[in-house]
Amino acid sequence: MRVGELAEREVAARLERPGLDLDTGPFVVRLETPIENLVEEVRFLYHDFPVVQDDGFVDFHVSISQPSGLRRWWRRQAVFRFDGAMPFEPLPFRMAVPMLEWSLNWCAATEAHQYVMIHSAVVERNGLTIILPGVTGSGKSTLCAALVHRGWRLLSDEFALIRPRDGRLVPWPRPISLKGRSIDVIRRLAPEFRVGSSVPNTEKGTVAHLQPPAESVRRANDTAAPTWIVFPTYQADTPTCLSPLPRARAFFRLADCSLNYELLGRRGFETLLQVMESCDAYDLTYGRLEEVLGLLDVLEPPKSAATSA
Amino acid sequence: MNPTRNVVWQVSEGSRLLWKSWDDEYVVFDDGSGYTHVLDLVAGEVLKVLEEAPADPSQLTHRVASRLDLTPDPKLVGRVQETIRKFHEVGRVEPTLS
Repeated sequence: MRVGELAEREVAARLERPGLDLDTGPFVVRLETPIENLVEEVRFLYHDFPVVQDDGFVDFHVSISQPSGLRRWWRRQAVFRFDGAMPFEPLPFRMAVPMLEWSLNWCAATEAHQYVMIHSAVVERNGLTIILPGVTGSGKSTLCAALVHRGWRLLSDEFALIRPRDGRLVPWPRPISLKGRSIDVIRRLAPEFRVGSSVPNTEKGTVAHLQPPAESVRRANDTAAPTWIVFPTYQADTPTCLSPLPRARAFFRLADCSLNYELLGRRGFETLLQVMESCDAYDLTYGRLEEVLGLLDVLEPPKSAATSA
Repeated sequence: MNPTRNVVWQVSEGSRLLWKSWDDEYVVFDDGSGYTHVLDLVAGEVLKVLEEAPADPSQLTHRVASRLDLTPDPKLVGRVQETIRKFHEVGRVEPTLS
């Protein structure tokens, strides 16, 4: 059973209590919320995700609700709770939807140390995978959405989850977070994409989320081997420039984009070595999506990683 | 501490270095401290030599020169001294007590 197959009132009832258990691929998320517009957005953004029916293991128990007392009515707020604790200050009520996505990111970043986590988008096509590491504003989500429009499978917009035992990428195909002007850029580029409601004036500007493609969600358990690492930088009106990066430098930058490399110590080092052995790395500066998409379409897979111990 | 003097240097106590070389660069991870460095050939060889045995700057320069097939000229001497200074600053090497 998928979220989209449940009646609206059934979704709302489960979300209110005891929570809707979503199979998001690597993690089962129990989501609890009585907030109406969040119910609608969950139905929309998680439309194709399987609902876990049995009372099994839950990785993250997330609740977004309103605080009790005056704040329930006056300058309304939304509160994120994780396993009952409240790790953040409440946010304005209108930010409940992005708060859910940020909360899930926070859950993984603080809990999922069975993986080496890179702040990165990841897409795959025909068994070839691009890791797009980058901070907010680097253009990785826009590029990720455009590549998905071009037929690439979405593994993640936010996290490269690398499995230490074999260096493979574990998908977590959640909604793609678009910000500012990239919302209209993607709407124009891919009118068939389903974009959720825009939330203005967040700390990241206007934010909207893109429903992940059903096929990417269906293949949420199909891991992928990394092929390329591309560090994107968006600069308006700049010609596209894709330059090869030496492996050692790329390693260091990848580690720098990791959320838990230092925490994992030797395991993190050995996992990223494994990734770098099989990948070619590039620096990418781009100002025009069409140009860069054409370029990434014809990237040659690495022949072999020339290495020595 | 001035590395130009005859101080004998060693890799800092507790270091456990793991190495990987790609092309002309090294990635080295210290399992003791958790630090990772990207090093060029000269810096990498300086650390490798000290990992094998403590050395003073002069011995170090000659060993590095021999490994890389370079002349131990003043330029290399300066480069090795600067590398020791940087490694010392970040705690990768330390003077021996003797």
